[in-house]
Amino acid sequence: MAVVGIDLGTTNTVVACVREGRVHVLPDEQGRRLLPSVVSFHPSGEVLVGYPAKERRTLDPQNTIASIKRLIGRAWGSDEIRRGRQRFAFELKEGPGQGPLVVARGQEYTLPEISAFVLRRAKEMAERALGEGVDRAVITVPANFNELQRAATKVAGRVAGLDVLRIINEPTAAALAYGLGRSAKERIAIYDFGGGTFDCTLLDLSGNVFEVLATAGDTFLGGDDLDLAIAERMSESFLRTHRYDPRSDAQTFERLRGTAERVKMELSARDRTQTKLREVAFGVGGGTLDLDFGMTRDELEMLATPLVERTFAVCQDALSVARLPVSAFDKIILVGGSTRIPLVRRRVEQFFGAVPNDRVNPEEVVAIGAAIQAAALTEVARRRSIPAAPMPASRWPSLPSIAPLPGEDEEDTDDVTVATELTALMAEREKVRPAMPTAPDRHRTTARLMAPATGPAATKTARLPSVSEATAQRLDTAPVYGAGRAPLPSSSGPLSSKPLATQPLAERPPVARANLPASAEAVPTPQSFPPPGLAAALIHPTTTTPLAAMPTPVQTPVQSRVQAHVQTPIQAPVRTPSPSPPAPLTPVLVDVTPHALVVETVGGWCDVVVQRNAKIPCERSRAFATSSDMQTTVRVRVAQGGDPTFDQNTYLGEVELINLRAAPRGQVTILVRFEVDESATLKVFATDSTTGRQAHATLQLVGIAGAQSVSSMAARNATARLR
Amino acid sequence: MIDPSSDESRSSGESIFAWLAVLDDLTYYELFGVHREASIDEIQRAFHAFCDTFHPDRHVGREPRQGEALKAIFKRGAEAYAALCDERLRGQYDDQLAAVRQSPLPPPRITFSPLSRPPSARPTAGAPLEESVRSASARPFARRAEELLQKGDLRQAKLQLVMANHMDPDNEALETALRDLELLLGSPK
Repeated sequence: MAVVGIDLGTTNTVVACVREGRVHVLPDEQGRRLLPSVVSFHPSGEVLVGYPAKERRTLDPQNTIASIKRLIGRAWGSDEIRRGRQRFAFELKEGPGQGPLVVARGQEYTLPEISAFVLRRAKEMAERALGEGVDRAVITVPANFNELQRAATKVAGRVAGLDVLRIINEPTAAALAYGLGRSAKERIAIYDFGGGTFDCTLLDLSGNVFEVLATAGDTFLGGDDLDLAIAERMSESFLRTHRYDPRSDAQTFERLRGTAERVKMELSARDRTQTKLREVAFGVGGGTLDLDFGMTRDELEMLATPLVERTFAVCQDALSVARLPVSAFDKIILVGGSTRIPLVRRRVEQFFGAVPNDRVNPEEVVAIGAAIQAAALTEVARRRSIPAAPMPASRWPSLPSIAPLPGEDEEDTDDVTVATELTALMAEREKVRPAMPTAPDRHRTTARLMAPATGPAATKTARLPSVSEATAQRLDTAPVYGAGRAPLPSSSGPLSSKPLATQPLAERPPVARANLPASAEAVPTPQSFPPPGLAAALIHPTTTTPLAAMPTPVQTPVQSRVQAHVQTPIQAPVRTPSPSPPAPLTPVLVDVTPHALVVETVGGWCDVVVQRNAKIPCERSRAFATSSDMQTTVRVRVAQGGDPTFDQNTYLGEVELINLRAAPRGQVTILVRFEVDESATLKVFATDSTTGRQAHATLQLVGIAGAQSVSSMAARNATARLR
Repeated sequence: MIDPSSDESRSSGESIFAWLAVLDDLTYYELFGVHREASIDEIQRAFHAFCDTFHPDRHVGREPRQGEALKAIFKRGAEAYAALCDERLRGQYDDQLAAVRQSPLPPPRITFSPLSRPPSARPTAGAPLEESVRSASARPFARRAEELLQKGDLRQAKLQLVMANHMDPDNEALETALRDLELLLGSPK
């Protein structure tokens, strides 16, 4: 079974897969690499997806669903759904739990179900192209998507029969596709202007690690808006000449909108365009009325300017979060179809003061990045080894007395405040302990005893190390991953029971160029991944291989955009014959949460639990107390957003703490742990902070289907006839 | 595929739990192996090296307990990085660190809540409150109060202190702690 990366876009979906160390964008039967994210319910009962559905958009707009990504994960009462109802020809209605439903041919579908049809088609495309089943996927979403939108996208994947390994952010995926194999430290800005969303993400790339510095976005701003503006312009011109407003008929307007999209694209290549559209409407005598519409690039730019300017407000926001000036960025990467518009390129160049880079196809780069991540997440064989743990210098003497094991002391078991699985982890300390010195002396001296530099300072008195000693010691016991430090001698620390040379790190042979693609044109040469100082230290912990003997980095040639069949090579095939050393690992993505996570407090205010832009995965805890006597249930309302007033933020749902101990008010305090996982989705755990018992906490997200309805949706999806 | 029972997996697993075992006792600086005066650049480099080693994505396919341990280590790293990169938080942290350096308590942590006050205001810095408690039933409350104080959750800490006082009446240390805390909570800020 294969694993793929899917860019589930507002207008188009792209699916890619890593095979033999190369990324392939997977085409359909006819070699088309974009799958329009359009679903049409045909009178025959068939469900059309992609191009056939797009054709139905003008014929049957009421039963043809497009741009569903703009609405997914939105609650019924939200502005976005209201705007969507005005703007889309298909019918929307309120479903259970505030989740909107699409009504087509008398059937009701949740929004994730609509996306699931697109995903299922993408899955089928991939299966056909690969010749094997596809069961897992990494799906991308705009960086600015909130918890509900991510959760709904995950549901869509599951309904389509895919195990969603990870939800990753589109700009981050683009950075991965762009930056793979580049070892230089770079600061890049991703300008991702797609069909329906805009994101600006700022990253620091340093060979092995891609750190997201900040991200900001607008999930209701994209190329679609420009199409609409052009269609409006067309309608007005038609109204002037024929006294008929095409906006009064959904089908007619849909035709204009489709034409507008073509006009927009044409004007990226030329300065003016003339369009003739036949039989737009019928005149008084039954004769047909045609639309004859001309537009120049200047006129288009006038229409586009307000939209483009909005993107820079978003960029400014990201910059201020990162606290960096616009000049701090070495590279600007363009992502998304809308960045093909010349005005956009010009303005990006002006804003950032740098020529934007478009060496990868802006429409495919996200799927390529997703595929790379998917491959990295399923590759068990290659992973980092852990260096020996450092010793906490200043507090080392008291270490064994801190955090006693559960069961070791009756009183202590009552006071374990970590969740049970963590408690289980703590029990692992038992295993570690024998490796540690067991001297009963509480003020036992430490590694300094063995380190001659500070040796004499080690006394058996209760005196704590002075600042300088402590610092020296900290350096001594620094983790091996620290910049190129020589490994500790095997006897230097009680924790490292064996010489480091026998640590698995040493198993990592030197990086060689043996795996370079044969073709000189197969450009990005990740195999030439030049080991920077840090990596070199990691790869050669024993320094038996002199650094000078290591291969010099191959100059990365200037790359043309990734062409149809010259895929980005990413890593050596897994089945490399044994003499060849393993290729470097895919860079690790350190992403952030796009929105602050807040809980409601008295008076309708918010308490920020997780800050915006916090690195993920992360967790924060908050204590909540009962407010009335014998209260056994506590509800905590959770939202996302940056407003101090709770109601001004996007309401996510509530955490329900049930079966609490019955006690006088205020005596039961529940510690709720909010965990934002690698997909930036939220989980909650709760413990009674007095008894240490796990409390029952569930997070019910607004409009997000439970597991049961997901499986019934999946069953319905699987029986639908797709074409 | 690496056999989970192989030497590599086992020895690495031991290292993971060794890290977990000392996690609470490491200062943010120790965690990254940087000195106290490290520049932002040095901290970033160290954090990247840390991510390269500990990010859960670097450890696909590890057994669940190892995976959870790695996650816990990584989360602490993310917390440390956020604190050390923010000038204000770093200053706060350094102050707290200086205050508890002489005590056997684990190093302080930054709580990241605009509502909670810096734990540097903890009235008990230095002497563990728990040690002055005479009654066994009051001890868990005192300990809990201290933990909460360290987290910066003063209100919850107060609740626990009230309980401790109730269980161990006329304990001067507890009474002082509660009075200090009430003053702190009452003070306009």
